[in-house]
Amino acid sequence: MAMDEEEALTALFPRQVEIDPLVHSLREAGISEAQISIMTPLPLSERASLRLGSMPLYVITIMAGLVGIAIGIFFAGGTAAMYPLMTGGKPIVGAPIVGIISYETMMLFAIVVTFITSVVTIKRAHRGVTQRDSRVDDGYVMARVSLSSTSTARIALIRNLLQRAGSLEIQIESSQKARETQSGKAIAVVLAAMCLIHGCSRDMQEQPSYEPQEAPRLHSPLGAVPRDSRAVITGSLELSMSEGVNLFRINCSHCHGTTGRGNGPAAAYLKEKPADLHNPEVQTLSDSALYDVLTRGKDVMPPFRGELSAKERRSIVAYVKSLPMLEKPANQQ
Amino acid sequence: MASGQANWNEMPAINRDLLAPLQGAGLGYLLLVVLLAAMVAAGAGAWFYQIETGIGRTNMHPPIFWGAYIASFVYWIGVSHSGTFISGVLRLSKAQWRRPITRIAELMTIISVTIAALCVFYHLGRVWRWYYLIPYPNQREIWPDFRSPLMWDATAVFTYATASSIYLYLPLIPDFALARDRIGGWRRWCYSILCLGWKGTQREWETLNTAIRIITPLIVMVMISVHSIVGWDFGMSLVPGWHSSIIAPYFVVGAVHSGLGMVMVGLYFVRRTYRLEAYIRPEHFDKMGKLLIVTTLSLAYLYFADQLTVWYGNIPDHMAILHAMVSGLYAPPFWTMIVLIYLIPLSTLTIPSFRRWPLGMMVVGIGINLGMYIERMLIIVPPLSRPRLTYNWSSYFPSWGELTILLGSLALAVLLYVLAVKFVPIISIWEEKEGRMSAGGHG
Amino acid sequence: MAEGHNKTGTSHKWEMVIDLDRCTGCEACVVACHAENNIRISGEEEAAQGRAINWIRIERYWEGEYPNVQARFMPVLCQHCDDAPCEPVCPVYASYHTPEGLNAQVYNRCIGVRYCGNNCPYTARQFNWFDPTWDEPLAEQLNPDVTVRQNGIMEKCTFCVQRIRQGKEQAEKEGRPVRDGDIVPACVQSCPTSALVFGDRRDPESRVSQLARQDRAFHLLEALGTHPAVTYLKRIT
Repeated sequence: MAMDEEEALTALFPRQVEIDPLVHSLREAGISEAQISIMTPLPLSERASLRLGSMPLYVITIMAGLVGIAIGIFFAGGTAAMYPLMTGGKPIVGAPIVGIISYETMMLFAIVVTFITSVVTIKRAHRGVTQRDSRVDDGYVMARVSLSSTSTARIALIRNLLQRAGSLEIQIESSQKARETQSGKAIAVVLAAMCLIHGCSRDMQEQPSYEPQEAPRLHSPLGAVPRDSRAVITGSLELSMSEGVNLFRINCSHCHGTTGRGNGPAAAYLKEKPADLHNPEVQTLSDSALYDVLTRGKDVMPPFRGELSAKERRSIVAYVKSLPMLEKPANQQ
Repeated sequence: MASGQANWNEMPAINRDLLAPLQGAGLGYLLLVVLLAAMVAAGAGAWFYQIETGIGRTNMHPPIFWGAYIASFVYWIGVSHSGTFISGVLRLSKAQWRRPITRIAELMTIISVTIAALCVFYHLGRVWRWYYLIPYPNQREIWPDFRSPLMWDATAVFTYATASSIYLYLPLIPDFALARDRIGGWRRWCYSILCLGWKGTQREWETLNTAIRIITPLIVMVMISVHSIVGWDFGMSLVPGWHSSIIAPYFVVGAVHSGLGMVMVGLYFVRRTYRLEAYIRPEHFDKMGKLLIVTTLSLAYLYFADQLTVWYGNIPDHMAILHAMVSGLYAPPFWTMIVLIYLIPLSTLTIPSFRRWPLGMMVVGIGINLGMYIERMLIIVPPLSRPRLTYNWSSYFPSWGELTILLGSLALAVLLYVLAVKFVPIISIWEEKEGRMSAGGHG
Repeated sequence: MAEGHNKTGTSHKWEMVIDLDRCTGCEACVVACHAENNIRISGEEEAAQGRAINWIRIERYWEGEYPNVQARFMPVLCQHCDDAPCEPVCPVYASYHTPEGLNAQVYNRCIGVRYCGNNCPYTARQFNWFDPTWDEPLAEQLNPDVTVRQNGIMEKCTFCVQRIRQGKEQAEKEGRPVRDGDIVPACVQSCPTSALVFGDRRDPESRVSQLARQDRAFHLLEALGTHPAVTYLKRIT
């Protein structure tokens, strides 16, 4: 907070100085109240009825308290009314509960706002003062008279008054641009430290149970069929039509039906029905197009790349193409 | 006026005496810090182990879902009422003898509230989701349930912690200004920020006095509500032995009781370690002792009123618990508690010469705190261990893991206090000066 | 959640009747509940500590002195109280009452404060003190319809809410109301003597409604006013 170029006279007084006559004499010399600061190690009077402008501080407290009550009503009553969830037969918005929460928030806001206001007032109360002799804490009294555009004759008069009141030292306080102390930096450091990023933990997102159609995990017991090849055949790599039949039955019939009509048991649960594979629209597709649908999926149908090897997918395509000619369903081949 | 002038002459001596604790750190101090830090580290290690493996590291099991952690939470919130009572209530009643004690007590308050919050974290099953307790708008469109007494707790303790910090900080501002001018090093940087550039002009003093005068009755009202709400954590439930309408005032008086005991311990050690016998005098112990008699008698009255209705009503669900405590499984801790928090204080504090003996008062204070901790455990465990369906009766004692964590938090409290003494003038310097200003004094 | 309707067109109110005359204390219900709901295996040590998780348990009491000793037992599970004392004390809404009368526990909202466990007068609530582990291949028998709870979370009987939803979805798929006997929780399904009966109380013709109207009917800890959804039929033999 930069300060205007200003000069001031500071005078140090011994402990037993009479303050009131000094101030009175300064006022008579034409110095305004705002130009005089008396710095003491203790309050000189018991006055505790601060006014900011014309408003007493306690009015700010009361207003903050009312805001606190409103916030308490919002939390305890508003959030419950907005998202009502029945618990234990209790009313959604309970008066005693709103009362308790509002009481606490009222106090919180009243106290915090009063505190902030007094902090701001304290900082503004000594805005012009740059120096404070630490001997004040030893019991001395320091008076400061700010002199903005005061004539030299007046300055001499003020000096005289101060000396007559019994000052031990009088100094000219030449102003320097006083920078705000590093409170801003400190606040920034604290805020940065508070930005601890909470790790997004994935509680219970991965379940040990097996989802339907989930592939077995690495620890399959002895005797399980390895994932890479469903067909346990020895010797030739040519996958026969019978392989296509088996693979269709295992992987496709639950949606497309045992005969490929699109009427499998799962079809009832699907909004977009599985295709009827006998339909000319499907049958006129090229082998590659069918292979592509099988590999990359289509709409709701999942991709089978990774689930089935390329050879397995080709054999299914061969089987699908042969469907219209078959009389019996896949599970009776 | 001659006496005033003489008092103003004392100011350099007061400054020197009351800033002395801030300067220098002897070998004993460093050893103490190292020891406490080691205990805190052990507690922290045990806590992280518990977070890793689960709350199963404790000895809690159905039906006893709450144990030593909640007892500690209630206990520390109770201890925290010391500062507010001494600062707030005694300020309202214009008791001048409070002046050397306020800062010691207020520091205790803010440290105790911190430890109490820590105890809640120990207790949570999924502590990494603690932020579900904070009311903030979120994409799940769900808020915390303010119907739960625990949310009243959260609001109240948050308000109390904030208010106590403010109440500790406000009277510290002039003392920070004093310390900034006389103490060097890195602390000077902290003081110069914290003192807000305090100069001591009359407007500043009036602001300070007005703020304190407004906040004092507010914080006393908050203090009373906080421990009532903690009591309602128990009072709102259906558990026999918990569902009692007197539980709120009982908890508040119990809190002040244990808080005053803890302050006496603090007073003794501060006085002895820093040779502040001129400031903390036997008369202070004497007056604290009188306050303690009041709290002892009030607490005994409330407790008797509570248990009398249980005993006379003879309802089986409730009598099972009273039996367990008076003559059953929990009789040894119960009678120890009675002796420590009622009998010993009543028999010693009523003797005027005992009240002026700092060491004796400190021992009674420790006894009161031990007794009050046992009392918190007895509030939680016997009612839970005697549920209505008797098939589920059980018992509980804290596990090694729990004890390590709780001892670590006690060590943390003492450590924070010991460190704070090097940063904050342990006796409020300007208030002490103000008290000596004139014989009549003004509040 | 799909709002199913019964024959009378109102929403459901799920209730259970337990006939103590028929219960033999065989604990088949306990085992079935474990299997259906992925309840963790506690082991000897934890069971000795009292931490064995049972969503339904057979409570056994001895009456009289030897030689006139008699065992009394009854199944106790979450009563799904209408005025459940466990619900309002949860600070994060992990426990609330569904419109169909179930006391719901939301696992991913629970932060493990355990106030609800204290406040249940039936000690029906359980807590996960550790993470569950199943030696492979036991994990393959876990029910995928039921969340496996991690440590730090409260859990309890849900009236097999996964079966309730499945029953309602099936009925909706078939375009008909839910019939009495469609929805069978695991304990009810496995009881050899049909001591446990489950159904919709809003349907006056359901077995549950008929049984609950009998003279022998009572509620556990009725004086507390929790209005449980589980009705017991007094044992008279």
